[in-house]
Amino acid sequence: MTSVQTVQSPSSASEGTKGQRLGKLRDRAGTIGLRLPLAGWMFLLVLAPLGLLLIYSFWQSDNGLTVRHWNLENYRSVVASKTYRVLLWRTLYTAVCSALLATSVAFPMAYFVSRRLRRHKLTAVLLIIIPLWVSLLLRIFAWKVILGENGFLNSALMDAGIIHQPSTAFLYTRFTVFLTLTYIAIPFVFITSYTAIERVPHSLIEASQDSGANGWRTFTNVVWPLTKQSVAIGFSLALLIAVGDYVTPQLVGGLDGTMLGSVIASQFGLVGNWPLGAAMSCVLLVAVFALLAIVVRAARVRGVLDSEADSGTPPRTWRGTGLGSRVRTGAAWVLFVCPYVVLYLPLFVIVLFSFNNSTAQSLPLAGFTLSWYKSVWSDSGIMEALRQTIEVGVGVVAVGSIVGTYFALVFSRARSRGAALSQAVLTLPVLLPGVVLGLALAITFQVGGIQPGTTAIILGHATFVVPVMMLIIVARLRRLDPSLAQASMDCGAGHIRTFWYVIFPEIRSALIGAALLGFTLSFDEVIVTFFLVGPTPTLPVYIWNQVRFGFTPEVNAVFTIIGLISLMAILAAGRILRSDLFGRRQPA
Amino acid sequence: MAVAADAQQGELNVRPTNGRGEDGVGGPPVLALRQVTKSYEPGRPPAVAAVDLEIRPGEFFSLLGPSGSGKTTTLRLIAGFESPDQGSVFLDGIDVSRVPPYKRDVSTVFQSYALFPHMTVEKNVSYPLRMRGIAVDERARRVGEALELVSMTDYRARLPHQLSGGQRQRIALARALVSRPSVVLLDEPLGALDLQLRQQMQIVLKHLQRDVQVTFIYVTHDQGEALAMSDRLAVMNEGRLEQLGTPSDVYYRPSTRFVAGFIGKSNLLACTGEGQVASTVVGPMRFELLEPLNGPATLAIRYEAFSVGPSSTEVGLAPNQFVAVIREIIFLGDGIELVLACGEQQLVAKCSSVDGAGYRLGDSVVVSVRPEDIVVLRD
Repeated sequence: MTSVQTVQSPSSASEGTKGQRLGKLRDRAGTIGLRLPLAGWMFLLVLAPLGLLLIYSFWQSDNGLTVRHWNLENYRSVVASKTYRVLLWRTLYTAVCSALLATSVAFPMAYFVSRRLRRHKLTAVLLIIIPLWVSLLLRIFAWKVILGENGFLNSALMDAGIIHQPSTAFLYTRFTVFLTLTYIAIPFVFITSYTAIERVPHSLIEASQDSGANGWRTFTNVVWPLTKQSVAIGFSLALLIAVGDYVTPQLVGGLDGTMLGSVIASQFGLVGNWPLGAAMSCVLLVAVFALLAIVVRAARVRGVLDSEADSGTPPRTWRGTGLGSRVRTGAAWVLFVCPYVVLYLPLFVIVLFSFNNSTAQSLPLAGFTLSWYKSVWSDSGIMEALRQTIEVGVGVVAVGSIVGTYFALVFSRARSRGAALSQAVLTLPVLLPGVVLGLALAITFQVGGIQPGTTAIILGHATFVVPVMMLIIVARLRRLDPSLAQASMDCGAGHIRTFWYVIFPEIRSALIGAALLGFTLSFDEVIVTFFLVGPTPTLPVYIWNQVRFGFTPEVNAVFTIIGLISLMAILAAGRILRSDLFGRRQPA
Repeated sequence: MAVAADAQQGELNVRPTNGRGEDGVGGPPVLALRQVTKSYEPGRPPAVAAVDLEIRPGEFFSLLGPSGSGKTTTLRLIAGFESPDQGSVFLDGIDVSRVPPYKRDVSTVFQSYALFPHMTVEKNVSYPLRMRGIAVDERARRVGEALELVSMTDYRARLPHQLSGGQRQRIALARALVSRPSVVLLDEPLGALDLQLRQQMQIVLKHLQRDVQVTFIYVTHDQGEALAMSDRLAVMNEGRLEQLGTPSDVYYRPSTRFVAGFIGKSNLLACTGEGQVASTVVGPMRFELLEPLNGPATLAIRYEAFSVGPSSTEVGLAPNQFVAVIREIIFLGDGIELVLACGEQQLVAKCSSVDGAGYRLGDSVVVSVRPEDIVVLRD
């Protein structure tokens, strides 16, 4: 069968070429047909929102209604206003500082985990990821409890006799915003750094030691040059998250800590001046991407790192037995554990207050109660929001699994420049600051006639969940032996049966991992969702409204439960994914 | 301890070799392993078990064995990437078992070459000098020398991914030699190259080693490579040293069944000895020996040690001469391998392509072996 299809008879040349031409044409049509959904997605959900954002920025708002009157008025007011200039500068400055601090905390941690830990590596990595499963908003809100006037920090300092009166200096400052943004960014920088460090072949480290370089010089000469590109990506991620965040500044920043994101968000909400918001978004985008271009350029490395498989034991670290080196090792451990304490402190606060018999989220504790847990079930607002969140999450994962796998199959085969470009375009929403993406999508859906609500949220989340899931699946597909598919086709299976019987079983665990990640991303999203939400809020938006307008500790109970469930889920998933993501195959 | 070491030596049947001493490269050992044991996982057999080894200055020494025999672990113990559970590693008479690799005067040529991908050829080669704090102009001079040594002077500015496998190999070699270490360790350095390039590099390596007069310790699973290049070699199996000696020692006088089976093609015949005569368990074939043997043993006979001739005269079979039937003919190019049946006993023999041209399956032939080519292995 196969031979008949592939080998073209050389006889009757003219007919042959005609047939070949027809066949080529059909192939081409087939390829275009296969890529049509991809092009549609890229146009409708990436390019259109960005284009509309740009167009809107040249229009005007008249009492909350957008008027199609082309001019540069918005840009003039953005540039002319000192407030906006200060805000833009403050936003970039705070974001860069927090990304820097997050990097300088997360990279050494990742290095420590990768090079010093053996058996508990996976646990150490999971412990950093797990907090991501508990509502970001609640974790930020918990910082208020820690840093506030009656908070933990003040009580501890007063108990220690360092201060005599509770200080208000810890909350509602730009410094608080900076610290909280750092806290948010650490896990993301950690993961990018960790995977990069793990990818440095053992033999290179050994070759460096062999050449007479001790641990430090091996690090500066070999490990850092080979990982700094990934660290720059982690840094950029942290920067983008910080720039697009309006939730943190509003929660812990107070008036002093306001950032540009908050102003953009308020153009959508209170003020209703979308064109001005769009103009500010465009200015922010240009500024941020200029900054990132510099960072990425600075981190460029020459040379190509072969992804050779490492075998055997990882290179050992030589430590002296003297007192000095023992003290140093001890200090390293203490420094290593500190970020974990910081990561888990908010979670501790959430759990603690879920049992606290008071509606106020502040110290001193009022006594033990289970009433918040009981009232969760009877609170229709929370339950409705939870149902909506899960509905959205399932929808996003369904879309992401099908579309993401489809796109992954297309991209894993295409290696042209065009393919690389369209992959970059498709991934763009991941790189957009949240507030910008939110506004752009809100504009697009309004133009496209999609009402705010479940569909809008699912589509909105899909813009950044699909590329993430796709990238994970592409990575898996690229590692797949291409002769597997050829063997299957050689055995007489068509494309669909080859996918179903051969490819799918191979990518299944990657798909499950991608789906879990996609669900997490959707489940906790508030910044973009806020722009798309209809009459029924999702849980994060519900909490966002609550922490702004009146808090009930029931959400603490909800997230204690969710935290427990996700802890179990991630431990189970960790089992499944262990071999796929982290494990090197052990010899039998 | 000394007693244990002696017992070990006796069991391993280490022969005193005088190969290098005569060439004037002798002297005290540059490297010595004493009862070195290393296991990676408790409860599993050790990767290296009680290995004793002495390597002389300027020697080309090979560690030969199948995969998993512990040869790479031995190399890593010498380099300092692992430290022994028991026993010690001595470099120039000093115990370096707890000395980190960056303070040992050895350098390694890695199987994967391990060239730093972000550094040019020049930077790669000068790296060991830079790490040892050697002055810039001295560095440039020695890098130039090292690159000249491997004929790669024109490639200074290239990055590793712009080089072919053989070129990377040369750069790895230059990087290992540039700091003039007392010992260079080579971990299957030719494993990734194709056959022709490998043979070419074997000669390059051998010449280089002779020129720079540095001790080479060479790990390989390729017996041909080990025999061709080494002054002495150690055959390893399951973490133990099976035999230590010159290539011809190991080839012609294997001391264990494993060595006889691993190096070259041998007939291993189980037999029982009575005085000067040994008869195979199946067969039966009767061999006359040079030395008396009593009780069970294994006879090891190289397949090329048999001479095969047409069985025109059935009468008057001399001692160690047998009639056999051809069961299989394998064309090797430079010869012909014959699988023969002598009664129940199967044999492999080799004859030249010219002699074997006329043989057909089922033909009867006469095979004979000289008594001095029979190696007796007592089980």
